[in-house]
Amino acid sequence: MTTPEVNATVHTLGLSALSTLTLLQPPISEELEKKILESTIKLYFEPPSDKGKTKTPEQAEQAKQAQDQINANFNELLHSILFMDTTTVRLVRLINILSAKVCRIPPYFFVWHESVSADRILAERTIHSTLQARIVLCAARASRPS
Amino acid sequence: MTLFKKFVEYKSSETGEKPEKSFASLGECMGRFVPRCTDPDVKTRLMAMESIEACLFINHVLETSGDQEGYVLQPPAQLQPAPELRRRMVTEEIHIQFGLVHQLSTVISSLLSAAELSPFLNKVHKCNSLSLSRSLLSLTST
Repeated sequence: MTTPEVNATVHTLGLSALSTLTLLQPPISEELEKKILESTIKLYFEPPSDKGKTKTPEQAEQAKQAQDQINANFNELLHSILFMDTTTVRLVRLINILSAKVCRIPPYFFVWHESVSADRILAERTIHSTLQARIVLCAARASRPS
Repeated sequence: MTLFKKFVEYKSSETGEKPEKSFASLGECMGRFVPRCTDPDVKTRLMAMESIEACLFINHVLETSGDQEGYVLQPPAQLQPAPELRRRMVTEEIHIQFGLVHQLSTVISSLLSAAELSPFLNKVHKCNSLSLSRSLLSLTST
């Protein structure tokens, strides 16, 4: 027996339902919020792979529209969470969850990826180090009594 | 970025008691974005710079609106050069990027409090460590 595939419409409606749930009183707990985001974030960052499937231009356009709708509903979910608690603590928590997903790309990916050269990575690192030093110097200068 | 815009939108319509007087964990949040200012992808670079501006703007709004009715949505004067730096960051030339990030550091240091400096540097340092591991992997593979 095979598991039926969940299509984009179900994902879209599910995200919409979660947005409504988030807007209801009492506000959802931090734990539940984390669970909701962890299970839905993949719909945004890891859209279904179409490798090996041949698609007509119409099917490709439909798939793109479906993904756009999923992305819009995911953004709406984030906005609902923020609406219920407009503190920077909540904002930072959302950013941290999103950033963790973005930064999960393994480092060796960048080595294999030909567009990023070793020179580029070293140059980037030099900039960061210099930036750190510069900020410390600027802050020290600012805090020094005149 | 839409999260920041929504945050400002929701805040601007709020009245009554203010639960916060400053941006919580501003340093750590900024430390996440700063390393991406030199990302190879131009969209990421611009988004990171815009996010930094948004963080500093929100912090300024929260700090200056303490005793006022509602929130004063006025950007600080120190943030004035930031949009121009962002506009010039579309360049792929690493030396120009270096100069721009150098100028951005002046903006950041003038708006980041001493208390937030340490968490900020810790976060940037963590990202640097990841960058170093990437560099070493690159060098060993070439």
